[in-house]
Amino acid sequence: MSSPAKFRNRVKISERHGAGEWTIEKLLLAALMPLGLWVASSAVTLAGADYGAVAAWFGNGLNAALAVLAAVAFCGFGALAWKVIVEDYIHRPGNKALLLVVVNILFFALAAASVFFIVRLALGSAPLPAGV
Amino acid sequence: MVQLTLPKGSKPTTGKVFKAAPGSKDVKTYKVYRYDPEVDADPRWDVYEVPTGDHGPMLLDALIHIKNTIDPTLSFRRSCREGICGSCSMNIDGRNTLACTKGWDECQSSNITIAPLPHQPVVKDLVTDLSLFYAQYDSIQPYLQSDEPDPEKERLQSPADREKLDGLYECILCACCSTSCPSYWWNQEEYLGPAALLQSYRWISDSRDDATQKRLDDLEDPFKLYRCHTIMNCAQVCPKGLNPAKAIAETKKLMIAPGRKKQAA
Repeated sequence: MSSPAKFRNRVKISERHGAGEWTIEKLLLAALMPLGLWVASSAVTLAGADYGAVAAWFGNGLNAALAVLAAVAFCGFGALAWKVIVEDYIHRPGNKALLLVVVNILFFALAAASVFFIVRLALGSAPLPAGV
Repeated sequence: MVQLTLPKGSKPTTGKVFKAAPGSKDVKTYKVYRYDPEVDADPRWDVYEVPTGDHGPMLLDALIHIKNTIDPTLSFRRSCREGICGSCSMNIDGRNTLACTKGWDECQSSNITIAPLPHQPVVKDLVTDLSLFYAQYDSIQPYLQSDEPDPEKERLQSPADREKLDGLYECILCACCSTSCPSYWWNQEEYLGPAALLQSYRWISDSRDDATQKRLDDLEDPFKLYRCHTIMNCAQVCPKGLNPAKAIAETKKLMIAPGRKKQAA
């Protein structure tokens, strides 16, 4: 979290960071372009397949690894993109800080759940009982 | 929280109508934003009907004609009348531009709306307070900083290096770009805006300047530079045909270039 902005003659004094976040955002976006195409083509391939076929598909190490990469890249990019939106439009410091924490928790939870279930499928675990 | 509607006291009301003389030919209707914060509770739209034959070909000619012959209370900035000084920047038919280089015949409708530059405090009518804009320009240190001792004559530059400044040095600081940028609308207290960033890149790319790394350090900030989301309104409205968005993109590339030497704060 950034400390409160400092100003000189009404103009903000540089925080001396920002290039790193911008680079990560662009790298994630670059990774998501081929991964997104792969996810879309995989969804078409698996459309209508039963649980066994889908589990077998995830059992392939390459498919599981790419699915984990896609999920992590999507959630990372989503968190950074929402950070920008919140910073752009929410100007009250308290509300901004709270929303950024919520956004980060949501995307982290989504990424963790995605990885957990992909790995579970890849290892051939039995489906969870209904309602769990 | 960002405001999506005008705050109370900012919504223009209907103002006076100055009719053209009966029988006038080729009449254009100018709907002009009027507001004097010291007197008026709300801004208003005054309407002036003006025959095109009464004045010159540019919208600034029409405004000067209105001020001289119809309503002397109308306020606007103007100076050079040829697109060099940047004084008469305003929002004409929804687009920021210079009134002195925009012909009234370029407007598609015969009803032309003229308003001050968006999202700036209004001093009076079409005159906006650009003091923050100028402070931002001042902050990028728009002058040569060289480690070399002063030469006896001018500092030489190869034609190729000089060419790198084309498309940068021509900026006249009219503020059309910055005040057309949504990022600048929402965050102008922290974001430098396209005009200041274009000017900064003008000095960063100058072969005679030795303060490149310090200039980059001063720009590296999530808001000062990275609030540019490549919306490109700046390039679309620039009356000099410049591309501040490209200059900002080049600055972002330099931030992560292999030769970058970040200095301690």
